[in-house]
Amino acid sequence: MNKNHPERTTGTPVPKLLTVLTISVLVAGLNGCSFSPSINVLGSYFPAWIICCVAGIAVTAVAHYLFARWKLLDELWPLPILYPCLISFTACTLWLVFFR
Amino acid sequence: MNDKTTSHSRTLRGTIISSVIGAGALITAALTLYTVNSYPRTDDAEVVANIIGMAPLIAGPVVELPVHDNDFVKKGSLLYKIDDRPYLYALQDALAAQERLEGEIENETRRISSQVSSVDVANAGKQNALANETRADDEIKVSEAAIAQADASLKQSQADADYAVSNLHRIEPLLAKEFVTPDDVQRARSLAEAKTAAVEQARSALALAKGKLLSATAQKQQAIAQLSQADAQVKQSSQAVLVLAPLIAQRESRAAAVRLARYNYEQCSVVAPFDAIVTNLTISEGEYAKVGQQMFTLIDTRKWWVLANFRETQIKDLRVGTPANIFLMADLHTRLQGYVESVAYGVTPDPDVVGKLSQGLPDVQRTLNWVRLASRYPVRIRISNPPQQSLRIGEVAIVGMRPKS
Repeated sequence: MNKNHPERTTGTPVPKLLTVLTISVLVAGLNGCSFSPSINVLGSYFPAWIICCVAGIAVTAVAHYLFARWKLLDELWPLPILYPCLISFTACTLWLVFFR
Repeated sequence: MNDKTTSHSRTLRGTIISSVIGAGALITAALTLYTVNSYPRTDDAEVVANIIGMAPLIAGPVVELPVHDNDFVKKGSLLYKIDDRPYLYALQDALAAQERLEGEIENETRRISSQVSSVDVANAGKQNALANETRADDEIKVSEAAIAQADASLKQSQADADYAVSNLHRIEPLLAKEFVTPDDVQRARSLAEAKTAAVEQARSALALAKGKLLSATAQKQQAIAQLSQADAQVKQSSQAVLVLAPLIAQRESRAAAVRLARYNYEQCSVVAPFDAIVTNLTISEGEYAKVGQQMFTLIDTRKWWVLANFRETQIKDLRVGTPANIFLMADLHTRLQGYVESVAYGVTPDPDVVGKLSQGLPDVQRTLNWVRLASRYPVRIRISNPPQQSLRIGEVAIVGMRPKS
């Protein structure tokens, strides 16, 4: 099924995903929510920026999976810089939204 | 193959997504850096409050200790009571001494008034002597007048006698020729004798008047002597009058002794000087409290601060009154509000850099770090809304500055 419809579907998911992300980030940012700058993980306190980095890496991993699935990997460039950029982008955005 | 893939892969869509990710990374990184620089934050912060050590001002065994360790006490409530009986007795003693002094002052006042009366008596004696002197003066004048009078009457009677005697001598030879009668001669003789006797009388009267003058003069000398004696008595008695000054001067000293005794007595019951938490209380009733020896500690719960260490580069952005968010490690879900109250002006210099601060010559290090670390200074952040009875000194806190709203 995936092989049959790639050309039709490739146009829609990326803008949709971007729209959803932008709106959710805006809404979260407008809420002005500010969590504590230290997170308790099973009795140990981790600074917020480590949590954001981990989340950034996780999001980037998911993005990589999605890029591969949508066959975007070949179109994106330059990948060695793009992925750190994506990690930094996600981590900084999360930090700015939730821990500022 | 490379040519193929690149020509195939570099589509407009891929370029847009890559650009969006790259630009987003740059923008958010810049925003993050700006935020972190403008609103510094630190994990190196601790909750502090002022503490005082409760030490007694007087010595004695503790008889009441109604507070317990970690109790919350209100301002004015009793913390401990030291056996107050010795201090009560001391106060009573001081009061009695004060009253005794008042009695002494009363006694002395009476004695002084009696001495003042004796001065009055001496003064009266002096007046008496003065009057005596005046009287003697008058008597002298009277005697002198009497002398003059007696002198005059002596002269008159002498003249009368002379006349009578010469008259007798004139008419006596005429008796033989019987020009006068014997009776005339007899009358003239007796007149002459009488006049002569009157002269003697006048002479003795003069002598008497002279004697009176002498006596009056003696009286005056006596009066003068009495006057000088009375003067001396007045001086003596007025110098013998005592003064109250030494006793009056003791009044303030006795009053001060009473005040001190009362103060000591009042210090037996010690109350909380402010709303506080009792801490480090490890004694019971019966403990012998020594002057100045700390018995327990009170934490002042009126004001709480967070001491947060900030790098010297961040301090320039911290103005007095800059608002701050405070999170306590113990309760990360509660956000406390605070504001910068002051920034410390000194920390101990790093001995690895400037060397040890010692006497003699400065001890300067010869090695030098290429990478220098910023000094950090404690910033005192006042907690605006401290939760009652849940803050603890030394609690770990996380502090982040926030924009002024």
